[in-house]
Amino acid sequence: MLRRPLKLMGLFLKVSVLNVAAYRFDMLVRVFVSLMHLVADLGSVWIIFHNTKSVAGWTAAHMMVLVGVFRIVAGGIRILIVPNMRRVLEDIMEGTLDFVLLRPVNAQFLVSIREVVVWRIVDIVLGAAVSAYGCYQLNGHVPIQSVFLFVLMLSAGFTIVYCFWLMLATLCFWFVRIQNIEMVFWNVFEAGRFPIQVYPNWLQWTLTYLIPLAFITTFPAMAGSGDPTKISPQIVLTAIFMAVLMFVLSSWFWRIGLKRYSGASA
Amino acid sequence: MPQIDVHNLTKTFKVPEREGGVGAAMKSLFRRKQKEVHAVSDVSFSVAQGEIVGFLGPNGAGKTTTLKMLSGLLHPTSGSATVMDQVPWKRDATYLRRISMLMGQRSQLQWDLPATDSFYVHSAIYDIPKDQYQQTLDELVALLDIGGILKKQVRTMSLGERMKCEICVSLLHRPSVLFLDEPTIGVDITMQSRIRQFIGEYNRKHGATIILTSHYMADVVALCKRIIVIDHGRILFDGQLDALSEKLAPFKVIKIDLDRDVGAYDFAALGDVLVRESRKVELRVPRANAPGVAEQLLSQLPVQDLTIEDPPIEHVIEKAFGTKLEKAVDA
Repeated sequence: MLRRPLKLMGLFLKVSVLNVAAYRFDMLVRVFVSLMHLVADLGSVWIIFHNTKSVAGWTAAHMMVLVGVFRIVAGGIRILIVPNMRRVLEDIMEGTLDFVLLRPVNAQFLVSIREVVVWRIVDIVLGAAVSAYGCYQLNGHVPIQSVFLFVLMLSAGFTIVYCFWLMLATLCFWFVRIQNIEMVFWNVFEAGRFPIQVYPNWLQWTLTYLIPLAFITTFPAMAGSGDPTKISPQIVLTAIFMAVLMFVLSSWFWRIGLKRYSGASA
Repeated sequence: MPQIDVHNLTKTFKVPEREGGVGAAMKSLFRRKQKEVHAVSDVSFSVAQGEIVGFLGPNGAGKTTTLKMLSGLLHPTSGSATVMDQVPWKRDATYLRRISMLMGQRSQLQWDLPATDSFYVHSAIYDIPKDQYQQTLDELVALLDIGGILKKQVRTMSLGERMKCEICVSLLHRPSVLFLDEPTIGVDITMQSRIRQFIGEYNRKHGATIILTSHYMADVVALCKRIIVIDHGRILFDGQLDALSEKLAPFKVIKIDLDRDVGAYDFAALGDVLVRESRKVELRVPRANAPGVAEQLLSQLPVQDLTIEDPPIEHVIEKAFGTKLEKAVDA
């Protein structure tokens, strides 16, 4: 049952590689910029912990895990989510979504996998390396169960971001021009650079339940710290529940939006 | 059981509307006026398997909207339709696999890649078995004569080349029902006739049912025995093309070239004079009188050349329905 979706994902990955191959130098520059971003992130952590031992219960090594997570998630968003959602917005505006709807494949699935910005995988590799190094500093090794929990929590977080984006893109069926919403997203996402524990209570609550940013960066980072007491089963279950709920909700919303779609030229 | 069966299909769009100017724009920020546009109203027809039907009508007549409903892209406001016993807008995968919609004004090819890559993606999306894909591709490539351009980046293709590739990609999964929306738009005359030939051939070979919309009357004349004329979302005529011109244009146009100027000869007595130059005359005469008039002209005048033609179909429709077809022709 999963064979065909995987085959299609592989296919679009391949097409993206073909597209990228046309612009090699551009890619080198981008990889370099990506590396610089990571250095800047680590630099700010170093400056903070040069002055203090811990921030809201987070030590420098813990923070490194979080910096890594932030890179991984931001990378993931830029590999798949943002490019695909940008294209959906374009397609809805220009009426080219017709071609998606004509295909004998689930439309939501198809619009979510068409674009893959391959070189951004660099972000995931670098982020994973930094997280792993942080975990190693905390524990002296990288425990396998924490890797498992880390991947699980990251997947939940990533699903939540995806659903959030899908809902934003779906709004386009009603409002047509909403490209600027991407800026709003990145500005809010910036708050995920820091563990939510540094924020006042009301904001912590908001960032957990209203805008579930905590599930996207802080909780995966806690899971990846290698200390099982850091993350309760309750948080893990809530994360999974949130991911499933968001997925159901966003798919439903998408289908409602599709019904409204009328194409640019009728 | 007809392959396409449409009953009272209706589609009404709500579109925002406002006056020009800043004041109206500010006002519309808070309260939007909406206007209902009846794109398709109460349209019914049926098409048998293997038939090619031409949709004619000016821009905004509702042709594309009808095709979009039949291909499942739009939900109708009311009415029903079945194509191959399925309801199009349920967009069942089994349905979508058996139809194809080609939109001449839009591209479904990957712009930066050679056409072969787009074909391959298409085959994967439609899950076409490898050997069948290769066979269909070979056949289409030969018929459309695109062997030489398959490796060319799509963005560097000429419009005609691109259109042939568009047609190729939309037929790779061997659809049984084809909706062609302006398949020859923008390409030159020779390419138009080759595309036409190809569509006819595909129809004969695979028994595919085809609905075609076009701005070019020649497309319709060459391919469709039956036409449906639509304007303002309503069907004005549904029947044989011959019947349409027979019934509504009972005229012939006689064109003559003369050896010398015949001065005051009374052409008006024979029919409506369309053109009168010193050595060139065009007359419109009732169909039944055409042979008699021609005979008279030949015997009385120094005629160099004489032809009897049907009036152009644009005029036929314009005369019959009072719609200005220039709108459709140049847009």
